[in-house]
Amino acid sequence: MPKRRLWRDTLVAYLFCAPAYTVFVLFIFIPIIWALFLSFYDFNIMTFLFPDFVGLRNYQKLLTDRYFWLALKNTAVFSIMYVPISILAGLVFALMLQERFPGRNIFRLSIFIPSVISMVVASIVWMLILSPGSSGLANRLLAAFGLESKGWLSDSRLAMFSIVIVMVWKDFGYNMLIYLAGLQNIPEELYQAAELDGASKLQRILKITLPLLKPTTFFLSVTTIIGSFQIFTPIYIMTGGGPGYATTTLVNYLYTKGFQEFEMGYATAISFVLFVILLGLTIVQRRLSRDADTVI
Amino acid sequence: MKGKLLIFLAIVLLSTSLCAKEITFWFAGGDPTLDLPVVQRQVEEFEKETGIKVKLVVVPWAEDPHTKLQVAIMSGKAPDLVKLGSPFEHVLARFGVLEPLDGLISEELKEQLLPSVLTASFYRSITPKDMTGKLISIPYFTDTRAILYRKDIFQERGVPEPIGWTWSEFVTYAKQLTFDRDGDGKIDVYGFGTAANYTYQAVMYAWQAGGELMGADDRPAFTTDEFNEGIKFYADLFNVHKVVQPGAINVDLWDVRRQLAEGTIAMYIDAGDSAKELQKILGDNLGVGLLPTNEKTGKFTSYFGSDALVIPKQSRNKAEAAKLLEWLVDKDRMTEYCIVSGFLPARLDSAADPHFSDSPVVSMYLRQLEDAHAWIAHPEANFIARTLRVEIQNAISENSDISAALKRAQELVEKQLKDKGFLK
Amino acid sequence: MNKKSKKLICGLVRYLVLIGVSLFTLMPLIWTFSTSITPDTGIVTYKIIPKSVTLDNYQAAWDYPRLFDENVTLGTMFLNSILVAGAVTLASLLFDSMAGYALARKQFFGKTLLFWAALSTLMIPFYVIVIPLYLIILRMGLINSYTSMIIPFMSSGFGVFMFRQTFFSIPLELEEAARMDGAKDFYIYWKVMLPLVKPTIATMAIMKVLWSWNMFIWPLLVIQDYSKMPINLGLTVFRGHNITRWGLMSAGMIIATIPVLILFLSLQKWYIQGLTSGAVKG
Repeated sequence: MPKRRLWRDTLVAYLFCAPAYTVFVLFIFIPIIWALFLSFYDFNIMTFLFPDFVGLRNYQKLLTDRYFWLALKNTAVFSIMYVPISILAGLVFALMLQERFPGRNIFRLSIFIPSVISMVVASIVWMLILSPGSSGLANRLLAAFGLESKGWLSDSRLAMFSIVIVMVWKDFGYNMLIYLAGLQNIPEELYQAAELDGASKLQRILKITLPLLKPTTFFLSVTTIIGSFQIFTPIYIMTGGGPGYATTTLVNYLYTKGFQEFEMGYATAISFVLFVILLGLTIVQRRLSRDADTVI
Repeated sequence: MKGKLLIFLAIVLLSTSLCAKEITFWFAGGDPTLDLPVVQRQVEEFEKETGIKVKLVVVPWAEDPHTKLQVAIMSGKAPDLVKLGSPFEHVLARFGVLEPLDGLISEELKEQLLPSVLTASFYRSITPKDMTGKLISIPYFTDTRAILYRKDIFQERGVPEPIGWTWSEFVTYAKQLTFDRDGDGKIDVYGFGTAANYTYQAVMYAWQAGGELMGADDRPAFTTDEFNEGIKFYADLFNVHKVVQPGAINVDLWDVRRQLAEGTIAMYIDAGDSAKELQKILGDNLGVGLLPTNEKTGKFTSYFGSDALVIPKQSRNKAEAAKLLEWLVDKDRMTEYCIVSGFLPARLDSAADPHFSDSPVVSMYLRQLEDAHAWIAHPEANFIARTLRVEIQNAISENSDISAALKRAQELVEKQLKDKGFLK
Repeated sequence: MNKKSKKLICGLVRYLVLIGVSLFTLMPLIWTFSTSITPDTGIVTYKIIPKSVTLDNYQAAWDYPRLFDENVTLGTMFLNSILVAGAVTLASLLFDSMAGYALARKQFFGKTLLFWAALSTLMIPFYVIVIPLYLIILRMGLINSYTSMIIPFMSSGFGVFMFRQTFFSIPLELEEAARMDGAKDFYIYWKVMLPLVKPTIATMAIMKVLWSWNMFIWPLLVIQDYSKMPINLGLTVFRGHNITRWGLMSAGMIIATIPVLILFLSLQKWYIQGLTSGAVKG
């Protein structure tokens, strides 16, 4: 390619890229670099124009901050409960709704609808459903089966689990969709061949479907785990992090520290730790699935 | 000809800029069905009287007006006058963003204000030095918390009115008021409603037992026997006596209010504006009582708060803002506001108004005000309250050791205060 | 006989399970709708089919924000959501497709770097940059403005990536033919390439609209005036004040959800295509 053309093309290309990349630079790259710097300062919303340099103090504080570790633990607990359940549910229903039968599309749609509703609306509705005492819908349902009312959002042992229920409700439809797409890519011939060989339905699923869905499962686990570590809205609306600190997660803690107690430098340090954790999780997962046929 | 036109234009511009002085007044809280109409009218009257235009911005409590205020200040768009919740002005003063009011407010006003509330309006922290001892706010109203109860349910269970109850009587009666009305095995009414999300609901008992939030050495005093006694009393209501409604650990106070209106709880503790709201629904069925008395100390201390008016340093219309401030806390207008909102006036002359002593509801609140304790006026009040709340909630929720939780809270608060330079 | 009845039972069980799950997923929405048309007595009803039907809750929900700012109704907030979603989507479509085109079709210096830069934005979670982003907006004096809700989201790495993929699949000959006719770059992009990627545009459009309509934490941080609040943020305002009026609350939630639901239902194909192509093609 003639040099002149290359230079001209470069200019044109950069012009085309300019709008999008201006946004990226201004609102993503600069903030993340600034975040790293900010984490070495102590300041709040009133003092951010003249912050105090504290070096690694914020990170040291993190190590001994009881609530940070509790938030981390809560986030991990949430993730461990939520990820397998929501992915499994997605898989099970994708398998159930794979073949054609009357009403299949309606079921697919019904299961997917919660994904479209905003997290805010979902949280408010579920907050009412899970309200304490005998007046909440969930408790009424329990009462109909002769069971005792539960403090879904007020019992510190149950609260996180309730959040898991809400999040699974919201997300498993999306997981199902991704699995359905993955299932489509499995050639019909494989199943036919297996059936001819006398394989049962279960064997076909275990030996053909699941292995070939590995890339999809990998993709879903990466994105779901990363998403689960960032949960904020349902907790903010339904429990406020409580009772006590039973449902305070990393991002909720970050929000409290940064925007309610105005220790923004410290909150930035927390957010950076979150970032490192997420990066770590991604790398670990990639390593574990080296044989996965994906290029993400 | 041209010259005359220019002069004319100049005069018009000058006069409009002089007359169209507009100040912004932020009002935190406010109930559109109760007190806001009165405030709006008072502001309109001010505009007519002085020719100063006022932009009234209402920020309900659920909108976190304190945060919004800080954001506005930091973006250079601070209002001229703010009505906020005490003791937040101490947080603002710490960052030097408030204008000291000593020079802007008349002496007569200062003399008329309730001494206890006025004292809380001076900045006492050691940093920043140039604000120490300055008057940073003027109280707009004060209010305390009393027992609000259902007379019909009390009658049904044969419980006398809650005046002068001891702690043990309180527990006995609360248990009596927790019952299964229709015999279906489920409790229909809970004796005592509360919301552990509000730290003061627990701390009031600590005060009654003789404890304090902060000691004389400016250190937190959560580990004293008295403080422990009070918090334990509160926690026992949940786990030992079981008189508290389900979900009390983290519901909102207006949920509890609703439950009183519905009759699923027999009594709870709240401020005068809620009493006003409930009166609309329950009428004479609403009773007001005093907090229970600790047998040892004889105290029935309640929490009293106040809302205050401040002028941000950024304001370019401080004199006009001060005028509006004095207008609003004028004897008649403060009286009018308090009558409508259910709060108590912060002025001696307003408080003397017969309306307050004649009203069965308000007079009881005034009686409660005789033994009431303010929250700490400390720049780190937010952190202290939250740490205490979280630890107490957690201990109650897990039914674990209260003294261990309070010890933890003590350590955490001390660490924070040291970090921020308030302690050595 | 055995095989047939086994199949029948299997089928029946499957239907039962599916109906059960669908009830689980749809019940909250159905119940919200039914509460919204039930007269509000202050006590929450749990009947799915209300005894009497009223539209009062919708009227009340519509006017509720007026209590705090006379000029604001739920409709105002609704329009705010439309404005923000519309601006973000249109800007995204334009910016992302332009960048995608350049990355797909042009050879130039630093191309690989730019490509990886766009991809790396997908790796950066929002919460890590929220505080500095907030401070940037604060410093620019844009707090509490429509701009603050729009400009940080006017383009996305995902969009750039998707458009690049699609542009790759367009045969080179078309572009070369246009160039031989003397067409300039922007003309080629606008008149030739874009019309050929209509499906991607539709997909990205609906994804962006849905995403920005449901956005919550950012408006929560930057918007303070009622008049500028998008409807999702406005709903939490309802909840804060009057959690007791569930009829009103439900009506508000339905108003906030219906347009999104309708948009989704009518454009499902594109939305689903967008979600899955990102996953499967990788």
